[in-house]
Amino acid sequence: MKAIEINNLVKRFVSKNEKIVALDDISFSIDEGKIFSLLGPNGAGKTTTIKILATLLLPDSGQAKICGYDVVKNDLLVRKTLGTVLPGERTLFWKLTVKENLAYFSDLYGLNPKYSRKRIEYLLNKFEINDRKDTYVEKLSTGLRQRVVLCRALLSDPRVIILDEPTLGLDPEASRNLRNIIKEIKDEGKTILLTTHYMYEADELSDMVAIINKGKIVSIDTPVNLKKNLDIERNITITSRNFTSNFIENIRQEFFTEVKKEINEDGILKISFYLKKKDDALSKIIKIASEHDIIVDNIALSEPTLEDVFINKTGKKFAEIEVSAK
Amino acid sequence: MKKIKIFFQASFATAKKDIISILRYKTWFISVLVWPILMPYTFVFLAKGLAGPTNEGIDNFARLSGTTDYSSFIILGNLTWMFLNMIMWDGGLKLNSSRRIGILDTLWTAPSPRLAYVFGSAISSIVINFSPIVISTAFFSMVKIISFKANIFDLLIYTLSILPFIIGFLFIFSSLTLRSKEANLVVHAVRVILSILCGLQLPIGVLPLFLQKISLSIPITLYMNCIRDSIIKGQGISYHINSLIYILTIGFITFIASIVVFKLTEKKVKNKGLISGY
Repeated sequence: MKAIEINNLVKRFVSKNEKIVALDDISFSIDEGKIFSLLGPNGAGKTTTIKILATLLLPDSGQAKICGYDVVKNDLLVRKTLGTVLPGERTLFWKLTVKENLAYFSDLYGLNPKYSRKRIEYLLNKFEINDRKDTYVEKLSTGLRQRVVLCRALLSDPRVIILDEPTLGLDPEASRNLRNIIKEIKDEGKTILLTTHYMYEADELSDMVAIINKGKIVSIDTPVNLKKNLDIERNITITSRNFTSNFIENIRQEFFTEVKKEINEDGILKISFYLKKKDDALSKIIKIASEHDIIVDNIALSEPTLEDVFINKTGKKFAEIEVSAK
Repeated sequence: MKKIKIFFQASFATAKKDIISILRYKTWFISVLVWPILMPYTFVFLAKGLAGPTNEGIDNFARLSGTTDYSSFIILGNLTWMFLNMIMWDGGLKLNSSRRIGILDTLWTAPSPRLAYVFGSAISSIVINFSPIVISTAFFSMVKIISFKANIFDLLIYTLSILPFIIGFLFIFSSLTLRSKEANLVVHAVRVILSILCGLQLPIGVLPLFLQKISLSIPITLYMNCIRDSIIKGQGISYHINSLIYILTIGFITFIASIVVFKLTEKKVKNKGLISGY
């Protein structure tokens, strides 16, 4: 059985007499025990998808199921099966302690008090915040607070967990710690649906990535395949102490490209240019270099990143998205 | 059965959470202890002023209200109104502030019925706001400003009987808050209208006849009359049995209707995506 199954999901909103298509017939599924990342610019439909899965929003048409339960018809069972981390600073009660917050949410999940006490103890130890259990949430750092939020999402031992921007606003160390925790959660066999603005995070964590833009899924695959199948120019840099103008001209003719020359900090010349296709470029360069008696110190070929995939599919850089969001 | 269990578990947990949170603000004792004693004095002095230097206004007041004990009349009206007011609005206002700070959607992802958060807030309002009423009534009885002749059991029965109406009112107000995202305007408008119509700070005898008829059809007016007659005149439940039946009947209808309204609103809110604070 698929942990999450979405078929032909459509959601439209009306704003100031204008119809906005938030989700335009999207379909995808997630296998149990996998981490699946949903990437997209602001307004692409990520949050709408998550809200529908979390039973906070009703779709106009189509179907979404969590562990076989329909999010519209069996919303109560869906909420029992699901642990959710939504974005925002205030998803806990700041005037309550860590333990009081977790106890409160245990009650909202209808957990048996005896089980709940044990579960809270277990999660506090697992996420190494047991020593802060009696601290008011308002006194915790953002990183620790986010760990408590994760504990809360795991209280009912859910099979599926939705993490919407879980590392947003965290410092690099706290982010790394949280990513490790997410990996541990996956190792327990949980299915995780993740949205993030950090491409390296999606690359590091995900088994599958879907890129959503203007309410449509534009690409879906493993991070490795997405990068491998990307048809973009790759930058190649060659460093040598004895470049000749003939060699550079030869390179220009062979690869039909502009060659940029630069002297690095050690006074060594560096040339760089873009390749349309990777193919046998390296062997060609080595061959040309040996014909011109060039001693190559270093050749570096840049591989595409998930961010390159994202830009290619959505036409936007994440930096632009951040600015437009502000 | 399981649904009812989780409803009450979530409601009591919400009430406990609200009470703990309030008690952690160091100024809580002002609203619970100091304010209930000081505030009613404004009404006592106002009443003394209106009574005239030789209390010539009292006869007129007695004609309109049925008692010469204007201090008890006004203090009890205000204390009771404050108590009911908090229950009527608090849960809806909390719902709105939860949405504003962005925690409401997190709460709504839990499998407990969403009405439980509003009901829980109502329980915490009852618990928190009951003590100032008791303190205030006890204090003014001690200093002989209120003549307390009531049977406490009768007062409890009256208060329990008005709760379905008040909580039903709260559910409807909460539904409105969810739909409109704006609550203050409704609070101000309805509060003023009810305080005039229900004779909380004035005898309804001063109202035009057609308003008096409307006034007597509102359970809060009848509840107010029961409380005043019980405390000031020492009248027992048997004097007000018809009022009690009316309060309970209207309360039950309002309560059931409010649950339906909330459920429909919940669906509408989920359809339009109005829940989110982010």
